[in-house]
Formats: sequence, structure tokens, C-alpha cells
Amino acid sequence: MKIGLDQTTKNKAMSYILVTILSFSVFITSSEKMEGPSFIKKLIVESIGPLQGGTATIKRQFWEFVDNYLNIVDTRKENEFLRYKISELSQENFSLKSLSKENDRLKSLLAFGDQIKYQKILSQVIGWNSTAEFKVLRIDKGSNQGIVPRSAVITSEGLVGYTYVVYPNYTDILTILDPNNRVDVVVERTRTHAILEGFSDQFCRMKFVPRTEALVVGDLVISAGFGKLYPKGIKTGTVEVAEHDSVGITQKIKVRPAVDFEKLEEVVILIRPALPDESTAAANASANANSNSSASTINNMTEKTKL
Amino acid sequence: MMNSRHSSPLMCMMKTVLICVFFDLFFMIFFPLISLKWVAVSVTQVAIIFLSFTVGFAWLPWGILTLQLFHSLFSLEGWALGTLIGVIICVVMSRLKAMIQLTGPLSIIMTTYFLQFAWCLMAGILTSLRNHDWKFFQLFVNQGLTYGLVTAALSPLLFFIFRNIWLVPTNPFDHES
Repeated sequence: MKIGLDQTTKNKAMSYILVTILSFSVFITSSEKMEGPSFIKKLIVESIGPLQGGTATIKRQFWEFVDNYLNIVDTRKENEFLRYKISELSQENFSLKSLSKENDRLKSLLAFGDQIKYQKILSQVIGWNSTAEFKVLRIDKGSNQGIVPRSAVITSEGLVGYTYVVYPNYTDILTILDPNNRVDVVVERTRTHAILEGFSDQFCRMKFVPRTEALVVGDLVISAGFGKLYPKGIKTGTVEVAEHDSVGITQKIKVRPAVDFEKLEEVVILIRPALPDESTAAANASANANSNSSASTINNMTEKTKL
Repeated sequence: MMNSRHSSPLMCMMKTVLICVFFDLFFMIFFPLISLKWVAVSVTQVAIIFLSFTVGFAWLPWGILTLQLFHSLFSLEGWALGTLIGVIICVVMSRLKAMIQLTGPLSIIMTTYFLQFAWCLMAGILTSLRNHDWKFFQLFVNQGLTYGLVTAALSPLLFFIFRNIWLVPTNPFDHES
């Protein structure tokens, strides 16, 4: 019995020693370098592979099922949210398009003004005061922003008018459609000088054009630059109709303004650099304009005509 | 010591091997299904720990070798390191098992986790010594600390299965006494 026990213990010890030596020697001699898989391992992996692939497919299909069907409860809410979002984004898109167009207009406006050596103030048209007598625009800038009376107002398209009444934060502009506004102009092609004044809501007319001047429809009319109010060379309009009076020495010329007043949104006010000897005259002119616009424009016209 | 009254030790070992293979495959396939792609549950280690506690026959090292050989078929790690550490664990546990009472799930979890960690420590040291690079030690320690928790959590279930295979009572020392 004792020998048997010893034999068992001996066998047990031998087993431990053998397995330990075997495994240790294999472990020590093997490196971390991955050797090619054995045939059995290849067989197992090739057998397990489709199973794992199937599992992955099941997993994918399961989550697709969850996404497509179980989450449909949230789809209605999400749909409503997305519809609201689309509406919001459409509105935002519309606003951005409007801003883009406005940006283009302002860019061209400012680019137009580059050739003119005046201080330029950009402003938005916020109101209209159109009566039979006056064709006035109101803009959102005033004396606080540096606007002074009798400053030319233009757009990239052409001449708008001049600042008529200046408030601290707003300004009324007397447009060239106003009959009281008279502009010294010249026909670009023939260099014919004339006075342009408002005639209706859409047209102006040129006065004092001699019959001998052969103006044709489409002739470009620009500012003459006399009178220190409007800079020279600003596009004012084009000849729409040229009629010879049956009697007299002049002809009636109907001019379409270069500016589309129906679509006017932004304007540029050209602030002329103040000269020392002009300050008093400008103040007087402003006072006159505020007190009596008709008299002021007549005086202005007279002055310009003299020039 | 061995209590397989109705099955031979060889049959019990074969069943253990099959159970290990089954769980290796199961976890290999099931864990990715629940997005646990890098969690490794070493059922073979639990089986060796179980055997070191309950089975004391002479050819146990060969049984460990067999388990590791089959396990190596389903993993990139070879059989040698696992066999070596398994044998060391068995030798150590043959001296210490009298002091450890595996009477409940918590004690099984704690013991398994501790032995798993010791296993990883030894594997880390041996691998680092062999490769002259101690980064392996850190990797093994991290594995023991993290994945060892999952394995330890499953160890009561695995112990229950192995006890039914080897027909071991809940407390083997009760039967022994």
C-alpha cells in the first residue's frame, strides 16, 4: 500500500514535471511572431467563419428591425419636427436669398460710388411721402449719422435726389420725380444742357432744350455738375419721348429716370467735403429749403441757370 | 478525492473540454452580437481553477494540457503558457485549497477573480521576460483587472456546470469529510 501510494505520488509528480517542462520549453522557444495557422486551426476558423458572419448578419438585421419598426413610434414626432424644421429652413433660406440680393445691390452701390470723391453714407429707404406736390423718400439716417441738407442721393443705377429735410435719425429726400426738384443735366451724346424736373410718378421732363438739338429716344442724360449740389456725370435718365413744340424755340423731352423708384431700397448719400466759405451758404440754403421748398428750388434753379 | 462515481475521469474531462469549446464558441459569437467585441471570457481558466480545487488525480496536468490545446484552437494564444500557469496554479492550490471554502457564489467569484488576476500577473511576467519587454506585463494586468471581472461574474454558473459534470457536491470538503 505504501509502495502504491508512493507510486501514485511519483506518477503525479512526474506528470507535473513533464507537463511543466514541456509547456515551459515550448513557451520559451516560441516567439511572439505569428506563424501560419495549422490545418486544424484553419478548419475550425473556416467552420466558425460563416457562423460569425451569420451572427453579424443577424445582429445587423436585428438592429435594422429595431430601427425600422420599433422606433417607428418616434417617427411621427420626428416627422413633425422635420416638417417644422423644413419650414424654418425655407424661411431662413428666403431671408438669406434676400440678404444675398441686398448684398449684391449694396456692393454695386458702393462700387458705383468709388469714383466719386465724397463721403458716402449708406442708408435704407424706410418710407415714402408721395403727394401730387411732393415725391419724397424717407431714409433711416439723419444728422446724427453725418447727413447734411442738400446732399446728393444716388444709387448704382443713377441719381435719386437730394437730402431735403434732415432729422436727427431720419432724412427726407426730394426725388428727381418731384416737380420742385430741378437738376442741371446734359445729354451725353449731344452735350446739350437742360433742366430736368419732376413730371409724374414715373417720368421727368427736360426743359430749355433748343429745337435745334437733335435728341433721340434712348439718349443718356447725366448730371451736369453745375450748382455744387449734384456731382457731375451721374446717370439721371434716358430720353423717352422727344417732342417739338408747334411754336417756340424749345422742345419737350420726356425722360425716364435711371432709378427705378418702385424698387428702391437702399441709397447712398454723398456728403460733400465742407469748405470754409461754403458753410454759411449751406446753412442758409438748408434754412430756405426747410421754410419754403418751392422758393428754394426756384432759387436753386435760378442759381444753376446762372452758372 | 475524485467523486465521479458514474463517469470515468476521462469522460468527465472530455465533457469539460466540450463545455469549454462550447462556451468559447458561444462567447466568440454572442458577445459581438451585443457589441462586446473585445471582452474575453476565459472559460478554460475557470475550468482549470475548478479542477485545481476539486480534482487531484495524478494525470491532472495532462488534463490541463488537453484543455489548453483545445482552447488554443479558438484563440491566438498558444497552449504552452496557459498550461504552464495552469500547472503552477494547481500546485499552489493543492497546498492552499484547504483554507478556501467555496460555499457560495460570492466566494467563488472572489476566488476566481483573485486567481485570474494571479494568472494574468504570471502570464505578464513570463511573457515580458521572454520578450524582454515589460509592456506585456501591463497588458496582462489590465486584462486581468477588466476581463477577469466578467469571467469571475460567470464563474458561479460555470462552477455549477462543472460540478454536475464531475459530480462534486457544493462543498467538496463536506464529501471528503
